[in-house]
Amino acid sequence: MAAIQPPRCAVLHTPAWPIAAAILHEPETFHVAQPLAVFHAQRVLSCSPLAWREGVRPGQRRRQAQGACPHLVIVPFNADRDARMYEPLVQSIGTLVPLIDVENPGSLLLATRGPSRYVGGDDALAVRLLTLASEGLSHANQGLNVDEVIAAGGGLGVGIADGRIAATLVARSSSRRGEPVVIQPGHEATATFLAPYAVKVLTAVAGCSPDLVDLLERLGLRQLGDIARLSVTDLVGRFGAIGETLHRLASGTDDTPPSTIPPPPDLTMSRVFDDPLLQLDMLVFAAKALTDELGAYFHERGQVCTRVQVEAESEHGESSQRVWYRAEGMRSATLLDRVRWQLDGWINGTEPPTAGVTLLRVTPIDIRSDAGTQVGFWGGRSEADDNATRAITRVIGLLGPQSVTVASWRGGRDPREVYEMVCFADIGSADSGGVGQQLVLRPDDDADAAEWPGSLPAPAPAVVHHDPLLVEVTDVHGRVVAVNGRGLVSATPTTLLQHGQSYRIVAWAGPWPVDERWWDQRARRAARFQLVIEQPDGQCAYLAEVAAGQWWLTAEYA
Amino acid sequence: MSSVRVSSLSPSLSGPLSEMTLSEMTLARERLLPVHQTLAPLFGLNADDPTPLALTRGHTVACVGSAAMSCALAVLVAPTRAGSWAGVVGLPSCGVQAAADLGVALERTVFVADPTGGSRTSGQQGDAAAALSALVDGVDVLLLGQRVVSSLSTSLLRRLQTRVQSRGGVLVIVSEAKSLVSSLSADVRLTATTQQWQGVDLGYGHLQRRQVLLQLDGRRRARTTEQQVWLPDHQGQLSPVEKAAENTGVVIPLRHVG
Repeated sequence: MAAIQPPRCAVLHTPAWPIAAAILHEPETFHVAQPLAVFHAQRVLSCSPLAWREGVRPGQRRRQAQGACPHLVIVPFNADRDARMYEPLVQSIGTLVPLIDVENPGSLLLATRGPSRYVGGDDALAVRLLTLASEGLSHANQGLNVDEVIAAGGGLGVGIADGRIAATLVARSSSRRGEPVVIQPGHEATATFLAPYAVKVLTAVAGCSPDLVDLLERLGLRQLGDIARLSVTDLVGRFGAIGETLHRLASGTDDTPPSTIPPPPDLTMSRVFDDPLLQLDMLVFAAKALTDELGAYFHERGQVCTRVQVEAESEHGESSQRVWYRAEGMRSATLLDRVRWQLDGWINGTEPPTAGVTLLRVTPIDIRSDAGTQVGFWGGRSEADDNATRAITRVIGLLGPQSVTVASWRGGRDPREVYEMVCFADIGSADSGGVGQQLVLRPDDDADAAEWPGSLPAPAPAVVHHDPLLVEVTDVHGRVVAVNGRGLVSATPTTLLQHGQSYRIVAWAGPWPVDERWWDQRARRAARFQLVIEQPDGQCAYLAEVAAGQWWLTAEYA
Repeated sequence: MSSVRVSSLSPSLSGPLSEMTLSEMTLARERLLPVHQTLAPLFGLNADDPTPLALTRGHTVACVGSAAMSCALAVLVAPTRAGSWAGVVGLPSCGVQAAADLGVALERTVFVADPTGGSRTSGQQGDAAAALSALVDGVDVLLLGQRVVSSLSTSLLRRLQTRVQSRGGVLVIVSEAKSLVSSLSADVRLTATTQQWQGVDLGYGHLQRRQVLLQLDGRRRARTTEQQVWLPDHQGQLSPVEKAAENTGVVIPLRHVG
């Protein structure tokens, strides 16, 4: 089999782009000198080198990360911000290279054949790309030391090599080294470069499943070179069709999936506006019609689009062109996200169009068959889930995003803190499965729950007062019962006074002292009690708290 | 040239409501939602059935009494586990941990702020009606607090009830009071009365379980059925009170409480 010459690519890569984006976006809040980490779904998504040095690692849980680095500054996850802040860099490089493939904010790929000849070689191109990138960012963020910010984002790596996978790996190592790296063209050089890499990198750069990587490791194929040395026939015999892909990936010949079918030309969806639009909302609304139609087309054929080109043109002839890539495939909602990011970056960016937008065009470039989710027959995503998501989205439209929430387990001693209410709009917009996939619904195991010594044992109260009710608890002589600094009760509580009514306390337990957050302003010292009172229609149990001499009812076992 | 006559449905029939109404052919099983196994005897079903189907779609269930909140959450358990979605409206004080312990599938439960904002002004009412009817389209069980119910006007409540009936959902209303203070007529009324709390005494122990008397009555029910249950039991769940255990006492295993 003749080895195909893969196209020569350059990759620009910033490992912790969300960090850099956050600093660029809110320079007053976040500083390069702080250890920063972006969290998504309670886990570290990326962290700055400073945080890394303190022991914070991507994938860690929040508490672990804060344990490793107590002064860690938490940056909220925001995909829109990342994309918008990356746009100036892409635009700046766009002045040299017309077609740029943005894999995700923080990483972009371009074909070097033309540009490299234009600027005089791969080395010159690498240097030029670096200059353009930092110029673009400095121009957009006046008054900030962009180099420092990029360093906080893990540095800007430029790698040039044959094929997407080699170029991506080169760029990753370049960002660590702090200088551009160029691998000589030719099959030999690429294969030699790839050989020592652990097979694990295939998960990150080529989207191989962790199971497959695990299997390879157990078979003793620990490095890419091990796979490349095997014959394609053997690999196909052992792994099936994916064996051939593996061999191509490991030997650096090509990574274009063979199932990619070039779309028929009529798939280009465009919309011409008679009245030029300059408002982002209206443009996105118009784009939604395009992406919905495309999404429906792919859905009918059981396909997803992995690469799409989005173009917008203004009345004065300015245009914004970008290629978006997503290995998992894009459907209508994810496609619309890309269009919105691009338009947002263009219209609210440094070189906004001087007139309204007259043309919007979405062109699918790579399409593959959808191996993804199907409506479940037993389990999985069901029609009820889709109906509910649709209805809830409508309710959010009517009442506002804050008013519709779902519960997410967070842990805590107080019944008010154990579950956190998360806006449905923040987690439901993705087009993957139901609510449960992005949320922690209950502690993973008993160990997690046991991490909260002093939390109340089951059962939990059915009514939780977020604004505690002020009451009075007195002893036989009518004196208010107090708890001293050592956690001792002054007298046996016998009466509960609420709204002028008095109730007899038939049973009580406590005090259980709580001394939380003594290290910051949210410090709280209190003693908790469970009180059972006698009411005309039966018993009533409360969780009460005494803090600074005041009694509060914080929850009711209703 | 002859004119073309376009025949069309009258606007009232072609509206979204007509598409959403239940189709005429529904099997008896499909008109029912499951209830918790422990509640089955109340509905006159066999307690051994793992998924007793007893809640009729379109019905309004009122949970009243001192243990109303726990009782309403217990009603949510079986439907949400079986794949239905639930909406909890206007109950910010709902104990999420208690719900999770009871077995409510939180991944299919959404909490919606009181759409009326506690006021009876007409503008708010319109928004609330639109939001509630939109929610009814998507969720099978709608849990409403007494506050929301009393701030909605009578006509809106009727319309909501009709909407729930046509969409095949179940409306659950929680009221702390002895009886439902509303113009709504409930098809099923569950009265949960606290009998006794166990596990806590004068100065020691901690709340472990509560014996609750559940009484069910309603329209087209010949007699009131009742059952003694632990709500919650020592794991926060709903379980029946065994007759034998009542006298001899049950051994609750020791556990680590932090």
